[in-house]
Amino acid sequence: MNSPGVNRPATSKVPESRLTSGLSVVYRYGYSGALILMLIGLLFPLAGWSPAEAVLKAGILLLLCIPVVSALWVGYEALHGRDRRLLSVVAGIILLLLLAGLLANLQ
Amino acid sequence: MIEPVGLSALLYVLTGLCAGLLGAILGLGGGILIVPVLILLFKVPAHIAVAASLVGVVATSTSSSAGYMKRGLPLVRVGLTLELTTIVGAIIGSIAAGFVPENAIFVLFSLLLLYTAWNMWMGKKVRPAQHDADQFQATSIALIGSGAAGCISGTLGVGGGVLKVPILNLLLGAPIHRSTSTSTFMMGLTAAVGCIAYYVRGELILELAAPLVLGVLIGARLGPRLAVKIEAGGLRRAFVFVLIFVAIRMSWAVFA
Repeated sequence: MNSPGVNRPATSKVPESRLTSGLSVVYRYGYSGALILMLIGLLFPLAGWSPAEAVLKAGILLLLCIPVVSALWVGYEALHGRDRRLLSVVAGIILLLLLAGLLANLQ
Repeated sequence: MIEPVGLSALLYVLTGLCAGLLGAILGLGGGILIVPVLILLFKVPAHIAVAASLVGVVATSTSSSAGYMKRGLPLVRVGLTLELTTIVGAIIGSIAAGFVPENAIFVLFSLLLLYTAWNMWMGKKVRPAQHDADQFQATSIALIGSGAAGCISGTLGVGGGVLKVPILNLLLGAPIHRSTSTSTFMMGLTAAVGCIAYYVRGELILELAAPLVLGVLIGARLGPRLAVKIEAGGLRRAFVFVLIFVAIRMSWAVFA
C-alpha cells in the first residue's frame, strides 16, 4: 500500500490566489504593527517617555522587514507546494539580499 | 538638528501624509514628492532625503499591497522573478549613490521628474492582456528594464513604478490594474534593499524617516477613500505643472 504523498508529482505550481491570500495577512499585520510602533515612538515622548528612539527603530525595522518576510512566505508556500521554479526564484532573492548586506558593509 | 518631536516632526508627518495621499490617488510611489520637498523646503542633504524617501516607498508599498493582495491583484510569481534583476539594480544604485555628488542627484532627479510629467500628461498607453509570440525576447527586455528601474530607485529614492508599470503592461501584456498592483508589490522589496546601503553609511536618519513614514502610512490608507470623491484627471494635470516647476527649481539649485 502506498503511503500518502508517494504519487505526488516531483514539481507543481502553487496557485496565485494561495500566494496573495497568505501575503495579504503578512502585509496587514506588518502594516498595523509598524503604524502602532511609529505612533508610540512619536507620541509618547510628549508624556516624557524616554525609550522612544528604540521604538521608532523597531518600527522602521519592522517596516523594512515586511517585504522580506513576504518573500520568505512565498518561499515557504513554494516549498510546501513543491513549486521548484518559484522556490529557486525566492532562493535567488534571499541570496541577493545577503549580497546587498555584505556589499554595503564592505563599502 | 532634527527634533524627534516638535514642529519639524509635525511638518514631516504632513509631508508624508500629502505624499501618501497623492501617491494613492495618482498611482505614484510617493518618492517623487518626498525627495524634492525635503531638499527644497527643508534643506535636507540629498543623500539623507533619498534614504528617508526609500523608507517612505516601503511604507506606501506595504500599505497599498495589503489592499491589493486582499483582492488578489498582484502577479506574485512575475513580480518576484523581475525582482531578481531589480534587486541587483537597487544594490548597484544605492552603493553608487554614495559616490555620486549631490548636484548630479539634483540633475538626475530633475530628468526623472520631467519624464514622469511627460508620462502623466500623455496618459497611460494601455495594452490588453495577450501573449507575445517571442516571449523570450520580451522577458529578457523586461528583466533588463527592471534592473534599470531598481538602479533608479536605489539612486534617487523613488519606487521606479514609472518604468515597472510599462514593462508589465506593454511588454509582458499584463492588464493595467494588475501591472500597477504588481509594481507596487515589487517596489517595497526594491526600496528595502536600497535602504541597506544608506543605513550602513549612516544616512538613514531615524528622526526624519519615522514621522515621514507615519504620514505616508496614514495618507496611503486614506488616499483610496478620497480618490472616489475627487476628480483625479484635473489633479493629474495640475500635478504635471508642479512636477515641471520642481524639476526647473532643482536644476536651478545646481546652476545658481
